[in-house]
Amino acid sequence: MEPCIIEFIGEKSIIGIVPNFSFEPLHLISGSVGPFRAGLPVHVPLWLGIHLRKQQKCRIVPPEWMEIELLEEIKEAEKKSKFFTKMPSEHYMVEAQLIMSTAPDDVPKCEELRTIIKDIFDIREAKLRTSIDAFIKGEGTYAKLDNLTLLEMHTVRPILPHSLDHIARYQRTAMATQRDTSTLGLSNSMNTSHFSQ
Amino acid sequence: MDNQSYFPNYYAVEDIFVTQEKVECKVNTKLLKMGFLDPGAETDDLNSGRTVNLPLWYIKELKVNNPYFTVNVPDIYKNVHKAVCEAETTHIELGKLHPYFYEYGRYLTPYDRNHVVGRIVFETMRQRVRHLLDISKHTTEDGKPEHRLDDIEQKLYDSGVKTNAMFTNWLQMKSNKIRVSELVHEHSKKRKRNQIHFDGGSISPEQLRKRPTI
Repeated sequence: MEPCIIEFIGEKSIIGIVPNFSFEPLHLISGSVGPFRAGLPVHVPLWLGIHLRKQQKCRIVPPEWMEIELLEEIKEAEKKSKFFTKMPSEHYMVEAQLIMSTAPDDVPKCEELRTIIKDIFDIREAKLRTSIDAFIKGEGTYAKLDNLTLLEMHTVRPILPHSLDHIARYQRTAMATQRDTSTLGLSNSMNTSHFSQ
Repeated sequence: MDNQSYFPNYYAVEDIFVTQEKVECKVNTKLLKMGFLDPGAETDDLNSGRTVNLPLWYIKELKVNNPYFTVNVPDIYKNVHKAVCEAETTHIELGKLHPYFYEYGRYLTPYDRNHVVGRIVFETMRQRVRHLLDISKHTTEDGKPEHRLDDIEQKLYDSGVKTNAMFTNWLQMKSNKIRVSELVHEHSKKRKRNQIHFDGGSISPEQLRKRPTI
């Protein structure tokens, strides 16, 4: 999965805009949007908001969580917690990236917000690496990663699943020979069973 | 992008390379007319007690306890290296030890009577994943890793670097432009070529047939 696909998925989230034009409701496959009244806030999908903003047809209302104090709190909580904390939005990175790059003027203290959001992302990413390491070296058979967003998962794919594949393969070989000392020849059964994939 | 991790199979070129590797074997019985296997042999027969280097693809088809050859496990998997591996796996240059350290080890696992090879291979991989994650995160697109990696690690490393590059590009909004799909690109090239042919008419059908097609 590429970041632009994740961006595409994230673009479905709803944001508020203040249009400067009046128009009838738009009937889209995913549902109706509008009607638009100049000066009255309305909820639209992110992609539509970005598109209208690019044409200077609206002003974007930043999401509630895009606020320094709140994000500072989240950052602190993220630092303290051993687990991943719940993010204010499923696609916080995508939303921040899109809104702040198209409409930096609509967001107060844009640069500071950008830094702090990236900080949170970096903290979470580092935490993910640490827990991956602990998981692989430990004895656990499964790991639970709640509240992890798509973009964060993207940073360890496909390297992590592939490494786990290899590790499992070598573990099976090591186990097989230990269990059965009188193996006849090199068992190729592992090769053939996966060959049909 | 391939979504499958490497898995040894009959058609995998990596697997062919690994099985080309020579394995040192001790001859246990006198093998008649097999002297050609040993370059230093004086007779036509292969006498017991001699050591010969045989390719892995031959050895792996024989039974582990076959009466003819005993496999000598290569030094790289011996106890000395075991000690090194267990202490600091991230500091050894695996690629220098053997370009196919993991796969070669996997094939030799059943022949090791002490059952260390299998464990070494498994443990080494386990210890080094974090290291791989880190180095692939911190290398830029054109940077080269400082250490020589094993073939499998190299593949993982490459995919990690690629992911990282895609992410950085996205953050810097470099990938905003929609690119022409590979298929459409090839098709338009083809069409252009055909047009030249029809317009100019300078290329004979004979020549056209000889051209490499996609």
